[in-house]
Amino acid sequence: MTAPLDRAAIHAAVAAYVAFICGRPGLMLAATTRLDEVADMDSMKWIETIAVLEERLGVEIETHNLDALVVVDDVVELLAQARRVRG
Amino acid sequence: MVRMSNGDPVTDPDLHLLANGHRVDPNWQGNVACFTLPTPVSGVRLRSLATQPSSLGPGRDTRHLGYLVNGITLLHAGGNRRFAPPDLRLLDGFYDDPDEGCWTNGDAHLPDAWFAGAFGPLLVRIEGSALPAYVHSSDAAARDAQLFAGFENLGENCDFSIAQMHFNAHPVGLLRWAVTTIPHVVAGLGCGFRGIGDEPHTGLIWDKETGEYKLGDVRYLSVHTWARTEIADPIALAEMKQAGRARLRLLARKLMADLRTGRRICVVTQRVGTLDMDQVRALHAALRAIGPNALLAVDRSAAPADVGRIDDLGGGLLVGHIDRWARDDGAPEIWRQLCATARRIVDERVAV
Repeated sequence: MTAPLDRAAIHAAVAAYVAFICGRPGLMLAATTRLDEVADMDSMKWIETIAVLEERLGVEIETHNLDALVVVDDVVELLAQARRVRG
Repeated sequence: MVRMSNGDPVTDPDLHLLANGHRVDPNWQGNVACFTLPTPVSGVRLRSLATQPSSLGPGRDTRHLGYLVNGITLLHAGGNRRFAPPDLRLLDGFYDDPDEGCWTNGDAHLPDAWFAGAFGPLLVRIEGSALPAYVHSSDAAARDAQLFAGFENLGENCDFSIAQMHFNAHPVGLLRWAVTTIPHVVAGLGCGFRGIGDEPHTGLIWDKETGEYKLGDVRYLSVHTWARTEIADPIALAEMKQAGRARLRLLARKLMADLRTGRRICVVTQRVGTLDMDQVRALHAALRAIGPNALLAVDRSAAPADVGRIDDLGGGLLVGHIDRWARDDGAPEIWRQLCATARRIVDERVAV
């Protein structure tokens, strides 16, 4: 078990990675940005975003939560709550 | 993910029949909807929009009401039969309503026994009336999206995922946008897709034919990346491959976790030829070894009279029949029929 991850750092990581895969550096994402309304992104890209961040942060999320992501803050929350360190 | 959308009220109930997998629209004679069907015919459903009256006004009725049926008459060369509301109340898709008419829920099943022995052109006359208005998308579409989100595509390609997308259902899944074979899926399930995405089995390949990068693990599958521009920079290419591999690992973990709970009905269709039942049974066994899973195996080479039918082979194994690809005319309606029936069978079994 590890301490909860820092939400601000995770939010910055999500925004940075989304900006990278959108090809638009500097893109800022509000917590209330709907995941299905971000241009050029589909649900699979979000899954990829989470998968990469999960590995970079060394955590594993509870996968059933992937079905309920609506806004960016859900992703941040999901990663912040991740409990297990990768083996 | 299920994405909802709202629509304005409409007055047309969109009343139609689904017969042998095809939509049949009515000719109206006053308040009587007249449908001409070929024979033999089976799997006939009376479909319409459906809305909760409470969403339209001050009423408290929260049922999803489709069409109020006062009588159904079948006319063919072998004779005529009329069914009144007392004959309808206990049928699937009709409300058990003590009033004069009988409401459908927007998707009512007319028993195959009604049509057995019919020959020559068959005329179905439906007397009834509609609600004053229907909310087109927020009720029926949301229910469809919810229905389709309860299924997990296991291959052999993206065809079923296209049907899910048609109904605005976007469940996250390892094999949702993959090309594979049933034996490869069985092998993956047997080992929990161990090492998926690992070198040297995984490669990122530019598919000239479709103009897209595909990420493949030769042991299990090949998936879309949706990257449609060739990348010359080797560092960017390596980043994309690494992200794709991370996605495969996460989704494999999710698939195995979902299968342990049996939370979705799994769907498999063949890419070519006919459905190999030995392979289907092996897949069913692999799924049941993991959790209480149901499998809907859909044969895409069905004869016209079998389209839309489901055979319950027991133990959570269902075989459905369709005769076209998901993007072909009429296919979404057939998929809805297959999925609604499969869901009902599985839920009834759980209830018992």
